[in-house]
Amino acid sequence: MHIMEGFLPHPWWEIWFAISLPVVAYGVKVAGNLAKDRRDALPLLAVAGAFIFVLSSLKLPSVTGSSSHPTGTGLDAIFFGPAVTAVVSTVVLIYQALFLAHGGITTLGANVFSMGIAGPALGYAAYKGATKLRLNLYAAVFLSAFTSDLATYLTTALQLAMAFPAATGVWTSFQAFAAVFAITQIPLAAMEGMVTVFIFRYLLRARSDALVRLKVISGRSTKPAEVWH
Amino acid sequence: MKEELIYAAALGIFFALLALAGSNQTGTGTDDLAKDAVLDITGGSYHPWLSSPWQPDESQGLLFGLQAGLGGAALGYFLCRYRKGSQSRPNR
Repeated sequence: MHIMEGFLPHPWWEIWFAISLPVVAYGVKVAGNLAKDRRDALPLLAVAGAFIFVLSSLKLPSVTGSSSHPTGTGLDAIFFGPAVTAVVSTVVLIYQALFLAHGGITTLGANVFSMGIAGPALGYAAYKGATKLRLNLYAAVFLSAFTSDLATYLTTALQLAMAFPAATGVWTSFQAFAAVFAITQIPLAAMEGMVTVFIFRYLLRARSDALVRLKVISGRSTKPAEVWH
Repeated sequence: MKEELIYAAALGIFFALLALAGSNQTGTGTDDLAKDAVLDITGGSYHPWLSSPWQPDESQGLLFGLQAGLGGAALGYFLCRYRKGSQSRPNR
């Protein structure tokens, strides 16, 4: 999902900066409050941040013969919401832009929006929606991580389609970019969902109290099917 | 502390090797395919207006490995702390 340096023309790269900056600023404030008032949650933030750092570094082959990166943002979104996830994603994307020439500084706003805001926001919504529907907890976590990953890449497709509309319109262009990303990404998003469930299960078994305090699960029970709010 | 460091080293090395293996594979990345799609849509007329001054080329795999290794080490360290915290709590 990394749009490369200099690839977004004016005014698109500025527009995505203008949209992403306030969200990241709000995320910094939320993370600051967390560090001040909820110090017990900081190790969990470290786990979720490290998870993004690890997964976004892996280039994995897919069924189409092409390869892509997972995002790892679903776990952070479930625990801390999209704004804090945007902050962690920004740190990862800056590292990759500066040291790996993967993505870019001029396209940072667009990449933060897709990986740090749109994907996690939809993943968060998927988790909340699944809990409302009383799906199995692990199914909800899987759905959230899967949605976060796939939505990130579809957002990138939309960003590119708006910047480079085909002669027949943005929709044609979106279909072309989505075909590049989505088919490769679906198996990787499913794999990411499974890994996220594994880590979530580990944390739930180790410290369900921390998840209760963050209101990820309710305190009535820690059995997977009965932990709804 | 010793156990945390063992977890950190194990996960750090595992993910670093996984990232290195992934970056050395020959499959085309979707980011490159998207670049080709932009050229298709614009009839080859669009060229990026800025390129990264630093192109790591061969060291890119190592830097991805470093990212994965650092992340894996942090993940291992904190997961181990969680596990030990869980074991030290009284059963309710």
